Amino acid sequence: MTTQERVRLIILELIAVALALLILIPFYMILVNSFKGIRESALFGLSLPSVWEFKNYKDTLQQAHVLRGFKNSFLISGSVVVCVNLFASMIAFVIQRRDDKLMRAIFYTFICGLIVPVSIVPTIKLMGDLHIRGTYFSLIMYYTAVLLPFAVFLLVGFMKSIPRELDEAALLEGCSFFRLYAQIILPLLMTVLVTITIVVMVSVWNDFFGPFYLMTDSTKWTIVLQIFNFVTMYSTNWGIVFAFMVLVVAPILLLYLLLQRFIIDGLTAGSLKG
Amino acid sequence: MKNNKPALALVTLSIAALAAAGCGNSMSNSSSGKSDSSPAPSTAPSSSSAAGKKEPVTLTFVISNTVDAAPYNKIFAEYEKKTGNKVELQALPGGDFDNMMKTRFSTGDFPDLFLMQPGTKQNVKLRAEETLKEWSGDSAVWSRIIPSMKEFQTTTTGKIYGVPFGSIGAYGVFYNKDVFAKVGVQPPKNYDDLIESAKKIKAAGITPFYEGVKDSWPPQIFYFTGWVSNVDPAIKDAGVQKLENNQMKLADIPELKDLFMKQKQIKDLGLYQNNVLAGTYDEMQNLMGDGKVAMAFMLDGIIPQLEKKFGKPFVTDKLGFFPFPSNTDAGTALMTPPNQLMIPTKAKHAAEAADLIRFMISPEMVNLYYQTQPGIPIFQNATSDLYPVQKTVKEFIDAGKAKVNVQNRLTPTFADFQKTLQTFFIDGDVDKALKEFSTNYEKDGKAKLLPGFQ
Repeated sequence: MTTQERVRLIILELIAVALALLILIPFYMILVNSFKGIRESALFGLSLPSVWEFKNYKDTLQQAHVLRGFKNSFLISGSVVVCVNLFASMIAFVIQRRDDKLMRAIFYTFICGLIVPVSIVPTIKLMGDLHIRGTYFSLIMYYTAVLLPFAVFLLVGFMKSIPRELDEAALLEGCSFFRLYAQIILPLLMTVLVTITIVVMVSVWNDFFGPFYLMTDSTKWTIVLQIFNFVTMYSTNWGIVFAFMVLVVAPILLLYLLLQRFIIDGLTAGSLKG
Repeated sequence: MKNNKPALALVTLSIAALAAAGCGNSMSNSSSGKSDSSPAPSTAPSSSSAAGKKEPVTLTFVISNTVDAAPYNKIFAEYEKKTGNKVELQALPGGDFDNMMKTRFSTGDFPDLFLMQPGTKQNVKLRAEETLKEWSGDSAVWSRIIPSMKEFQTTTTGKIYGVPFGSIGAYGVFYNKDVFAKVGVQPPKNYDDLIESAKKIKAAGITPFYEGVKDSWPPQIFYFTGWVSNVDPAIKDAGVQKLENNQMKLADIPELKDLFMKQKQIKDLGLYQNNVLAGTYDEMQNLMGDGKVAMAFMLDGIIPQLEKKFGKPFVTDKLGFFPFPSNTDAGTALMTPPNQLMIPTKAKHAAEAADLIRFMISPEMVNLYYQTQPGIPIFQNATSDLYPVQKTVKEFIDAGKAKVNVQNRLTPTFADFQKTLQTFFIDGDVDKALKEFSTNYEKDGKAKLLPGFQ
């Protein structure tokens, strides 16, 4: 490699790094504005606060029901993660291992679910008919239904890379089908399950419309919906809103940072025919 | 191979969690899980139908987020102290509030009580006769409220479905007194006077008017305030009645067209701030407080905002108000009636909700409300420490130079007016904007199946 080429590569690298840093600007803006007073924060500037207002965070936590919102968010997104992982791995196991016409049809049905959008009104009607409207259970099932196709799609792809010889060996040893799934296949799926966990967690945590339309009981509202306690049409203290945003984003950002190396592994798993 | 215990544990744990979530639904809706150990005896100021009840309940109270919830939270804290009943306040986005209420009504998912925009026009949206509690026979309630407000809530058949609560609001021109003093101008005697003053202010290097076009709702204020000063005197109440029945078209009112032309004139003369399309309500407050903007056509919601940002002395000493001037005189002030409290008859705790309303309009609670949020009172013998700006408005009301916002007098709404105005600020086409405004109004009347529109 000549020096010229090396310089070119270094410059390209620097440009790439600078572009990657662009994504941090909104986060920085939220963070820096969360420490500003009512007048300064309304300008949405990127400069450091002239006076550091830590009171915003105190006000946020004192506001009605922030802790309850966190509890609901964790409960709902946690339950959805469990449901999606459990059901999708079972479905994928059966679909991929049987691989007959019926199973293929079921698989394509799930793929359709990736494309078809959610329709809110029939969903509300259905929940009413099932007498589960306004319950945690209804919301958990709604998200599970919405996110299953993606998880099934990912897991079926990955399942192909798990050799059938493992199943055969296990069955010869007298292992039952469920035990085969639970003790042999499931541990091998862990990378993909972590990926699904992150994607599901992030999308449920950040979702606004689901709970907003399907949950009329505000005691079960997630943290994201608590934003209406802070933003009003005619009077908004942006400092407090930004402080609230920091609190809402923090747990999910942390989770993402801790588990993000699995994401790439999981998404590319099964994409290569070995 | 990895140990599979964690996986199994996870599955077990998750099933347990799900079961718990399922059970959580059937639990009582005590929000914090902490039950009141010693509920105080019920002393609600009424023949409480809920009195002697042992189990405290949680009432749901739905409110639009255009309303400041602070005074309500204070009242509800007192209510809880007295009765042990909790009130769960749900703030919904103002833009979708009506639709969300309609949705809840149509799915039978009723809140215990809610705060709605004022007037009998709301009855159509919610099919009040079938769904809402009727109040006209409750003399204890109406003895507390000033007659004009009761009248405003009464239908032609003498029924009342909402109890007014809050204070009389106002729209008009809010201005920075310091700027006026510095430039040497006075509140205008007529519209030409206003434009002359604005030119002087501009010559002094200060922005005369500010318009928050980006936020989309502020530019409408110009027309509502302009309506009571310019359109009302021309078409009178009879004309408004014709609009109500679609016997007259908005596009055929020359004075209304004149308002569009007036707004365009302000823009063409360069009397708005630079890049008016990027204007926001927040920036308006900041610039007005800093004395960089002289005036704004605004609602009185700006008063508490300016107090938060610039302190009480600014609001009491530096903030002024005058109505939108007419072509011949100082104009008419615009009043907005207070919102109304409504109770669905099928609400789970309708009886307790009615008691809560009676509690809210008791003299102590009314005073608490006005302490938290000063305003022109609507209750008998209630006192409120008014801001000077509000005193000015009250003088206009007392002198009979005030009129209720036309939106509160008409059943159809000026649908999508915000969008019309944003486009109008871009292309400046008066005829197009007026036609669109008129057409959208008729469309809304048609959608609501109102007489004369079908």
